[in-house]
Amino acid sequence: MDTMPRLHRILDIHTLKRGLYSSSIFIMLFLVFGVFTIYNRVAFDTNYLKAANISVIVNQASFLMVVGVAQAIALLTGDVNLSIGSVMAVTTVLFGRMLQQSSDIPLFIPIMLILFLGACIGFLNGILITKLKIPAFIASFATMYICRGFAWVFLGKTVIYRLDEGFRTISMGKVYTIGEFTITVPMLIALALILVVNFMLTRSTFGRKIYFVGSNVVAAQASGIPTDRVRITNQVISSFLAAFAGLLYVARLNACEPGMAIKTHFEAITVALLGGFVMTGGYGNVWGVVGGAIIMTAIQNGMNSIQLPSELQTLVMGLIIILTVFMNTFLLEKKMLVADKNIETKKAIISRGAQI
Amino acid sequence: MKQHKKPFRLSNLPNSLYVLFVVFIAASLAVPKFLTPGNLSNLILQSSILLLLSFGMSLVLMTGCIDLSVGGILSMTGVVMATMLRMNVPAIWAIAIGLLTGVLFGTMNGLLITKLRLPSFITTFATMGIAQSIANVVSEKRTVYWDPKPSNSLIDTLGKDFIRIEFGQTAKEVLTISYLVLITAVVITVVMLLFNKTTLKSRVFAIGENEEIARLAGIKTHFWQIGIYAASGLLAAMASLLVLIRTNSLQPTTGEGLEFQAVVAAVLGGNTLKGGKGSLTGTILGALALYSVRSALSLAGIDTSVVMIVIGAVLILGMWLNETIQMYEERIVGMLRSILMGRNHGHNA
Amino acid sequence: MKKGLFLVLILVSALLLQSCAKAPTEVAGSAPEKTYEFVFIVKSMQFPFFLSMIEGAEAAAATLPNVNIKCIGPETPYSVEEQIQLVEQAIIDGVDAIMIAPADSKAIVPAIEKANKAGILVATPNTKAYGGDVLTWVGVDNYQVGYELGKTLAENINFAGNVLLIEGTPGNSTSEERVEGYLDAFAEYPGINLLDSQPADFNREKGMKLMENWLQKYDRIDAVGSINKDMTMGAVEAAKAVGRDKDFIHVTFDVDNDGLDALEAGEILVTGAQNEKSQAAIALYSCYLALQGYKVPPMQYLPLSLVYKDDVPLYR
Repeated sequence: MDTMPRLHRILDIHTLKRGLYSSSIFIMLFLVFGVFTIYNRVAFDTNYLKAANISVIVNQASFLMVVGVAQAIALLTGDVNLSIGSVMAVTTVLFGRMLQQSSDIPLFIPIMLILFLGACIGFLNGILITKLKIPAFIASFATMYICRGFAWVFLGKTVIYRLDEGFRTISMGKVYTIGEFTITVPMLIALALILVVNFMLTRSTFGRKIYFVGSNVVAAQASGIPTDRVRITNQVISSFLAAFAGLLYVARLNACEPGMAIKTHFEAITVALLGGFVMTGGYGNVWGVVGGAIIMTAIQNGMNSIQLPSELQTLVMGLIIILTVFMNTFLLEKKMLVADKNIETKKAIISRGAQI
Repeated sequence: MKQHKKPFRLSNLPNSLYVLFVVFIAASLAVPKFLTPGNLSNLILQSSILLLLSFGMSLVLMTGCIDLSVGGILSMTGVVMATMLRMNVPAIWAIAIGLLTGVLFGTMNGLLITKLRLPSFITTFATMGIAQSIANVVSEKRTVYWDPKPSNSLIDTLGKDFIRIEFGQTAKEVLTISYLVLITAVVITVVMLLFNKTTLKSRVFAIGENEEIARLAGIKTHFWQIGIYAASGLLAAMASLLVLIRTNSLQPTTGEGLEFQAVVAAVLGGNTLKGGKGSLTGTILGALALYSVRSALSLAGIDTSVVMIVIGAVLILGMWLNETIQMYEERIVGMLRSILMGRNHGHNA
Repeated sequence: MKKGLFLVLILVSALLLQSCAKAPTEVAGSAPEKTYEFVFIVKSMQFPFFLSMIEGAEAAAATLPNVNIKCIGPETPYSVEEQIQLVEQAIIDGVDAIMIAPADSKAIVPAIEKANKAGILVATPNTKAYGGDVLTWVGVDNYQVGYELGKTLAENINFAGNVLLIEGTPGNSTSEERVEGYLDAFAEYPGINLLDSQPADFNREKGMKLMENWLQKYDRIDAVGSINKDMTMGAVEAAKAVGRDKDFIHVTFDVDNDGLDALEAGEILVTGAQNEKSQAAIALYSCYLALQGYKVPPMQYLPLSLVYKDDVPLYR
């Protein structure tokens, strides 16, 4: 089989351009911040770039980073996870009552239950994808519908609210204030998560296996990697993180409701793809998610600050996303052409990666 | 190009056929009014919008890409048409301009994806937002409607029934086929003929299988990909014409969420997100299966939340059924053969 | 082609089965006691407001022994196309009355006309339909809601101050009508300075994000108006997080368990209640009366109630 040398090349390229995607998104971030700062200065004479505002943006982005990482991990093996938002809703809705101020149950029990249920749904997704051979898109779409339906059937029109204040510090806590910039607990949580996941993906054998499976599942199987087990574990991690994100979200909103995070699957995919992950898998650096999440939040914050009419907001968001993705692709191509003389092969790989 | 005929195999059938079959039987048994001429006409009428969208989606999926902007295009082109009608433009021109808008937007999608090499999922997600914005701007965020005038009587006519056969007095015993179903049927037939009887199918599959190799083999990959996106835009615009006729007005938020339903119908019909294979017949059956579930459950008066759970379960069951049938096909065929052979022997003796 | 054949076979067998099944249905139709089948179509079954409306309808139906009610809603929230499908299903079902809260006043008209043609009564609790033959409308106008709330907001800040407005999803007719009402009310008072009006898609989390962004930009805010309670609850949390919750008032719409607690705690100053349970119940009784041969007024206006802290017990 001559798949092996090709595969090595892919892995090799991956290491080559690690951080490149992230750098392109940070260039975009610079542009976005620049435009909004100038506009705010000229039109309203306010400072968009003041530390307090940056702190708000990064804090909001931390939540998106968690769902972005959950999606990115699923994307790495080429299995998209559409059920993230629904998992967030169903897990917190089922056990939310134990998180209320009025409940006497120690906090760690509902938290454990929520995370465990998330992992179980991930396991179910994994089984559907690997054992029943249902494409991940449709399998996770089905679980998305089922989870959302259960959340509504279970809770109906009531909202669970007034959550335990101690529990809420995971989302509302402030650690340290430098000038006007406040470092919050969610920022630290997101940072820790990124570091851990990055270590897992780049330094552990399991992480390398994930990339291998995502690049070429047939070759991975042929070289003795238990691909099914890797993919199931991957799905479990993804949904576990989704449930974790659910905890963060309910702590932030001080309420559990079945309709929460209704569009989060889209947001998560957007953040991950902006961060340089691809739908075909095997590809991407988790630091890119940081950039993706910050850019999405910064655009929304900027649009609010310049009082952009509501009907134009999706237009601006769309244009900036296209520009960012263009920068990603453009920079990647440039770098690759310089890095290797074997242009044709590289082009083929790029077009493969860029397909979906 | 002559295509050699494939032998008949169970696994060659689109999997949505099994789903449709199971759903149909279950619905007919559980909901008495499901299996009535009136309800079946409804089912076909209601699924026609999704059918057009998922047809475009299937073609795009076969090239290995995805088009999430169909819902946005539907809103946008619909608003364009409705605004034209409001400005007393003759209906036929309004429709033509609306369809053209769809084609242009689709072409833009195609250009972004081929010429700039952008990944299709995120790009069409972004253009979905752009189309939605245009819809909101043109309509000033309000439902667009128009006064009935001779110049737009065409819209009224198209909303009427084309065939009406009464088996009885009540609504459930009347079989109706409206012009909308007729339009859908014509469009679907044309697309299927173009796809199955020309070289389009092999080109599309080749591009989906491996774009680079298809290009080296002399296929104008960019041309065809842009064409497919334009076709998807056109079909979305036609779907929006259907909505416009049915609602006799147009809401700027009409297309919301339809893109995922279109993907589900297409994937249920055996199309994959990886491209290079697929079936349009499967898509038709997939869309019908989805609507059969909905139709039966709404007749039974079931809560939406439960409907969602059931649809999720049906999706899993359908995909699993297909996989199982493929897996055990050899055994089933062998069993059938031995039974048939046994009978033949009997005849010989 | 074999695939196509399969489909045709299914359809043909379906029709055949139907003709066999016809006889027993007719017998069942000639039962001595007439029971009425009602269907209630809401804008979405995944919004607490409409679930509360359904409760009202079901409670009213329970008082009438010969009325059965089915409550359904579209899968995609606020999808008028799916609502039309549900009306078509109800016509097939052969119901006696359809109660519908139209997701769009104009776009629902063809469906109402279809129901009229089939001789089915149509009542529209909550939202008007601009056409068709509707038995009765019960509720309060969305524009009126916005206008009243806008005036109340102005009164509570002595007709002068910096005001922010949270909208729903752009293009959603409920949201746009209420926002229009708010804006018209603000326009009457020159002292009201509308700083900004932005969408948060009826969503708690988006409301919170929007408020956080606004709190960064505006140092002096006197009042925040909203067209729905969920978004206000998000905004309240955002203000509490930076300790500015006492600086300005919240005016919102709809009554729910968490909203009532927020009123009691003084986090929200006033909310509008449209008594959705009564809307549904009155619509149902009206249909029943019409079926008995009584006349029903075409417009039944239920005024908007303003709920302050002291009124909370009335809504528990």
